[in-house]
Amino acid sequence: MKALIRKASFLPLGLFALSVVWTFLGYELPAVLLGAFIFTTLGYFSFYVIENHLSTYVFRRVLEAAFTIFVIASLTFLLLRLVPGGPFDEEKALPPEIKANIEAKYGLNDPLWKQYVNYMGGLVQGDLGESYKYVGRPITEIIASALPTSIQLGVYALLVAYLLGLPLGVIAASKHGEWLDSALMIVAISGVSLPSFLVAPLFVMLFSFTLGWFEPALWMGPSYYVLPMVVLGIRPAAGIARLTRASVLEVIRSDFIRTAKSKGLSWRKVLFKHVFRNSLVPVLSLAGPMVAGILTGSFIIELIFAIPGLAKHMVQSVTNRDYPLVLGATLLFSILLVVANLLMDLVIAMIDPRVKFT
Amino acid sequence: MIIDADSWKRLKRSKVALVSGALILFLVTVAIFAPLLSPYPFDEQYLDQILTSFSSSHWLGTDNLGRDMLSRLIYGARISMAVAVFTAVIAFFIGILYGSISGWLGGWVDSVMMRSIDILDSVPALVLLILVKVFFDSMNLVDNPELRSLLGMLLALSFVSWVSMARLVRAQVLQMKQMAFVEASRSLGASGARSLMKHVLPNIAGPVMVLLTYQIPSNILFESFLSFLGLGLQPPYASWGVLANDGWRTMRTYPHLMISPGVAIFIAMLSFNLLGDGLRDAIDPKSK
Repeated sequence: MKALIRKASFLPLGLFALSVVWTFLGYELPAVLLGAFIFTTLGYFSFYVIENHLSTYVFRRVLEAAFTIFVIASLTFLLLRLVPGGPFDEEKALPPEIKANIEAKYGLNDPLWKQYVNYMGGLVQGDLGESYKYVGRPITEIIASALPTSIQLGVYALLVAYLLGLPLGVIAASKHGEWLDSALMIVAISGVSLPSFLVAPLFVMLFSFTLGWFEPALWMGPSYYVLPMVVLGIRPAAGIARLTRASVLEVIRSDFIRTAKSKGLSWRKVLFKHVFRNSLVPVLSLAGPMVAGILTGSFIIELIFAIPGLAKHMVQSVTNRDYPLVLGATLLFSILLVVANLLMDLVIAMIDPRVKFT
Repeated sequence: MIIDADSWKRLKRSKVALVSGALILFLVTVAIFAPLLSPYPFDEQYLDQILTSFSSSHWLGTDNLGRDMLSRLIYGARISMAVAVFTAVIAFFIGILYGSISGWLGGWVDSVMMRSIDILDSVPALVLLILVKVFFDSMNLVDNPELRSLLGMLLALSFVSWVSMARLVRAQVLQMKQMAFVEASRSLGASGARSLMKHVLPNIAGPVMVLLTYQIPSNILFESFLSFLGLGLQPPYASWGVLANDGWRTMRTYPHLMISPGVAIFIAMLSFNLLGDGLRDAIDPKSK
């Protein structure tokens, strides 16, 4: 049974890889592919969950997540209403009748509790209200048009981070104490200390203005994707490399590795079968903070590269005082983070059977 | 004594830690003695020398209003370092208080306190930072608009960074609570508060110091992120983040405006990160 489960994991993983390549080539993701990916992933996870009697745990986590989102929605709502000055106080004051009319349209004259109840009522039905600034456009529509771009950027950056960070960390650890190790670690700590708003202009200067390899801005095809995703992925990649190295070094020193070696297993087998798998756990558990870091970094990247994503809306809506959009974006960012954390916990449990759920 | 003698010796043996420590000392000195060190006043405009590059009279050139970049960078050190350090100190006190109460009391108090932290952690840091910064900025805490934006920055950054300190302190206190010497002090009749202050907290100082050191570069980063998004400090005060933000838009034609604050941010973050690594290895040699 266990073997079957392991084999089945290639289905969602394969579909994921296919979707990544597909979108990276600049094609729109067909609904069939996306649907198949979501279906197989959910199916795979639920199979695993039922097989291992984790349903109560997952159910509790989902309930907790819902409660978390509810609290965040309430607090953000309150915070935005406490901010003095309304969304329609402009430099050139509107005539009072017009302002009163606008405020009545958005229900801003109602008592606070009524506004809150209305908002939460809408939220439960998936209605986030209408934007104050893009007149007549529902928030859900604005978010739905920006979300795919943001997710695309985030997934690419996460892939860059792991595909770059893991091998570098393993290489550094296997050359422990040699010059390559030190060199890689110097590169890594420099990467951690370089803010993206310095790397981005430098990369644009070098790779698009001087060499002309990639486009300097916007989000319209493969040559547009490369610079933003690499710049966004560098910092997390450096962090992953550092952590992987530390983790591999710790595992190499442990007793079961000595046992495996003394049994006469080849070094390569020990490395891949025992060392790598065991040192992956701490690195993967970093994925939660990693996703948070990438979400944070995407603000700067979307701004510098003029990418029409969610973070750009969030920044603009804050300065515009477009409160429904601020709220919607905040909630969505939080949901992304919460879901990523839950999935990662499950993935770690699949890799490391020692993990116990409480 | 915050670090024991052995760790101190190990720290002094690490060249990297010493060099980064020296660099930090240099930056702090520059920040403190900014008025003595800067060749020109930071807000003086030399209108006949607008956007000049590196020269002998203005080492790092001048900006679009004809202000000397070196002087602005030196005063920027003052603001960036002050914001980063004060934030870390505020976060330290809140974190110690919250974490030790949560860890020491345990039980349902602990659960409630930790659940609240989990909720805060479910909002990505920069999103939270933006919301809180906007909130504090509009609260009119002080009349002076420049001071208001500085205070808002401090409060917003502390609001985001105390959480990890509280988590660390709680985990450490939970561990220490079960140690024999703490139990001994309790059974000899020491009050809970006394055991906590006299026995538990001094023994967790090491990891706390390491985190404190790591938090300073992350504060520098977040401060410059906010400045970058246009939520930073008000002119004429300029942190490194504000300078870098002014600079990158004209990167192609006037690269010197971007390079010097960029290098300053990089060096500061690198030194603190390296010092943090050195401290961590010195306090817990196994981690190396």
